[in-house]
Amino acid sequence: MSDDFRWQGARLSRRGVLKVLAMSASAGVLAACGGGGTSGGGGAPTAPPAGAPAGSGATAAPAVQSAGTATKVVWFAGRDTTGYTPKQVEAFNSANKSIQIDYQEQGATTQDLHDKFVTVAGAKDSSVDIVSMDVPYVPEFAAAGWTISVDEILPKDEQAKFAQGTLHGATYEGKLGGVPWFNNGPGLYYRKDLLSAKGLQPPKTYDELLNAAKMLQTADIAGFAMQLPQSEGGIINWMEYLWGYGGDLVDDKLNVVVDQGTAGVDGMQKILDFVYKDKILPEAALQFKLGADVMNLFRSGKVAMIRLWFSNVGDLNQPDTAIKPEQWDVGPLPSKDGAKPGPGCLGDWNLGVSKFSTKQKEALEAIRVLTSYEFQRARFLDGGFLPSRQAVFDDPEIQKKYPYAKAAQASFDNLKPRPVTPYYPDISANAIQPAFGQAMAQQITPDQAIKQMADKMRQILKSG
Amino acid sequence: MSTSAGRLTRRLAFVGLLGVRGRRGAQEHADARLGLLMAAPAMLTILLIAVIPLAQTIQDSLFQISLKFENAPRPFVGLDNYRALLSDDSWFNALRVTGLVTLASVAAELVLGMIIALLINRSFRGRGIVRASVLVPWALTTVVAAKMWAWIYDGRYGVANDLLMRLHLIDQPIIFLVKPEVTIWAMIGAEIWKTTPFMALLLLAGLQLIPNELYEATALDGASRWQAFWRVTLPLMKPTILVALLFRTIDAVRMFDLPRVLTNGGPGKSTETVVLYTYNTFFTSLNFGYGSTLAVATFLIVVFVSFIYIKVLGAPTQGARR
Repeated sequence: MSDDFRWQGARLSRRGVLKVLAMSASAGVLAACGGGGTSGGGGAPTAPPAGAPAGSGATAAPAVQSAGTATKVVWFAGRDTTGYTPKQVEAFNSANKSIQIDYQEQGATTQDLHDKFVTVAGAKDSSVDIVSMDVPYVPEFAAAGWTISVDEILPKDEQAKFAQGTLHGATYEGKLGGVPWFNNGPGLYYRKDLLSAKGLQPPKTYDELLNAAKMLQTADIAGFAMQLPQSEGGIINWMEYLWGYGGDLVDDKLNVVVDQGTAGVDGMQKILDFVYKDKILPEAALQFKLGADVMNLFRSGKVAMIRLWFSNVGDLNQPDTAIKPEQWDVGPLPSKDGAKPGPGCLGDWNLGVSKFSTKQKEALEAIRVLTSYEFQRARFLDGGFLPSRQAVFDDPEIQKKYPYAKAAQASFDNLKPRPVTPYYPDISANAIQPAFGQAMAQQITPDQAIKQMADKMRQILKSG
Repeated sequence: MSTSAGRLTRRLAFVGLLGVRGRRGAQEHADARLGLLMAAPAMLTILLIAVIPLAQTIQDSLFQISLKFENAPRPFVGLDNYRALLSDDSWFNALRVTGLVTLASVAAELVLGMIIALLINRSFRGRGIVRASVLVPWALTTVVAAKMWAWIYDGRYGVANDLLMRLHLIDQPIIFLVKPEVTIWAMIGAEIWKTTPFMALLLLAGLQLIPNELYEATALDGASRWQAFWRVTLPLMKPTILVALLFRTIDAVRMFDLPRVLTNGGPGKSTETVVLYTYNTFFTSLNFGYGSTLAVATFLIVVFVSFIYIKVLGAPTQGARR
């Protein structure tokens, strides 16, 4: 290397800077155009629906409001992959003259919805009226003072008509933070045709599940699948095995007990064995961030059995489904000893009202209607979403269309909520998920994972 | 005799805001007033959207603010948050991740960007189309690109696995986004793909500033193309390269959307960048005091990186100096 190689343009001339900046600025404009065009196409879900019913008032809120004919309430919701909820919103809007719902899905994952609402509520902004809440968000938002109690639209005699587990999960410090608008828990979806071809019954225990998966597995069809990524959806699957082996995360007083006994380790080991030792569960499950990822595998006939939410039943009605209705069924989860269905995680959704909404009265009324018997019945019949109002299960038309309805209702007795505390999202994201993710990737052993998460959980619960 | 307004004008001229040089006399004052007037809207905007939020963040970083409970006290804790930062393993882990991602991606982008810039600087048929299409990855919204790469890296259906299997480089599909030692490089690969065009574009701008006569002269002197590159192109490209590196490094240090969508920091915390960690502290832990501390720390890192580059960029031009 001679001296000739040294930098000669050590001083940047002003003209040079300006030219470079000008070039990059014009490049920026180029990018803005390109980016804008792309997101305009891809970002459609958050935009207001283009084809809003004429004269509904949804697009001209201020004028309509001052005329006193209709109030627009904004609903922050999670993604409904079945596409059914927008239809119910349309039904609501066409039947209601005074209240119009502006339904806005917030991103693909539950976490996206959570973060968006935290942004809005943290700023005490009034742009959201109704918010959909996964079970852990009810206590979180109520404790933070972001949602109001919905007790007034659900008096005690009405509450008695709901599944009590769902109400328990929606109650924080004695007050109802949201109305459960459908019930949800996991079930075991299975291929009836494949099981009967081998003379098998739907598995009732973890070991039967393993054996059936081994027998049904072929080069093209995986034995079993569930969600195992480092996410809320992943840790729920482990939690069900933790409960299945008799353990829990915390006790009633929020003391961390996950590292007491061997249930946490055993449950995690069982899942790891499914993936790495028995090889009945494809390793790709570690990337299944969405329930739809598991369902798509099942819908395309590439897996014999899956553990997934009952709310995904509607996906099987989609036209591009490869398996026919008579080929599949869904039932309770297996358990350790088979005496009763395995414990499932309560996964219902609740509708609450933002404390910073200026239209709380209208928002509460909209929720009252959306969670009414009629809407829950239609939601089940046409969308496949199981109701939180128990009476819907007794409807003859429902029972005719969904033979599994009663089984699902029964398995809901075994649903457990995740710890009902405002600390839960923090615990989940910062203690459980990282430890679980590392264990699933075989970076640490289940023993180490449980110890790591227990230590971190105690730290979070102590520091606040 | 130089007034403070005159000095200011010269400074503004130096940063290229006004593009006029200070002159002496009454004209200078008039220029200065006009200059201030013209710069005022921009300054006001910067005050509103940058300075005030920054001041607010610095203030918040001195308090313990948890949004977990309504009406929770917000005690002033002084520098406690900063002390906590110094013993926060997650923060140091995020720093390591960010450092590795920044170094690896910016270095690769510089080399690849230079090659692309040299190629599309030559004249050939269809150059316009090639230039435009090179920009496509960069023009894509990062979230869209990240989703796309998540599919490419998919363990069962991913294109990456399919290609590697067909080429018989691997026997078993790789689950890219699950093993930390693979995931981080998969993420860096996506980042390089995404931002090399930007680098190439900036470098192309620099290439076009080099007068053709210089190449003609070197050719007359009997220099090879390789020699011309090392002795003419690279030295004259230095300012451009530094500006490009500055932009890209600052961007990479603040990397957020790609890991958020592609890995969400996992597995474990092996791809959690400082900004992603900061975001999670705000929005999952609802810890706005400590989150602000993390944000301020990130800001200081970016300032530090910029400072180093600007030092290297050299002193201002002759004209702007006294």
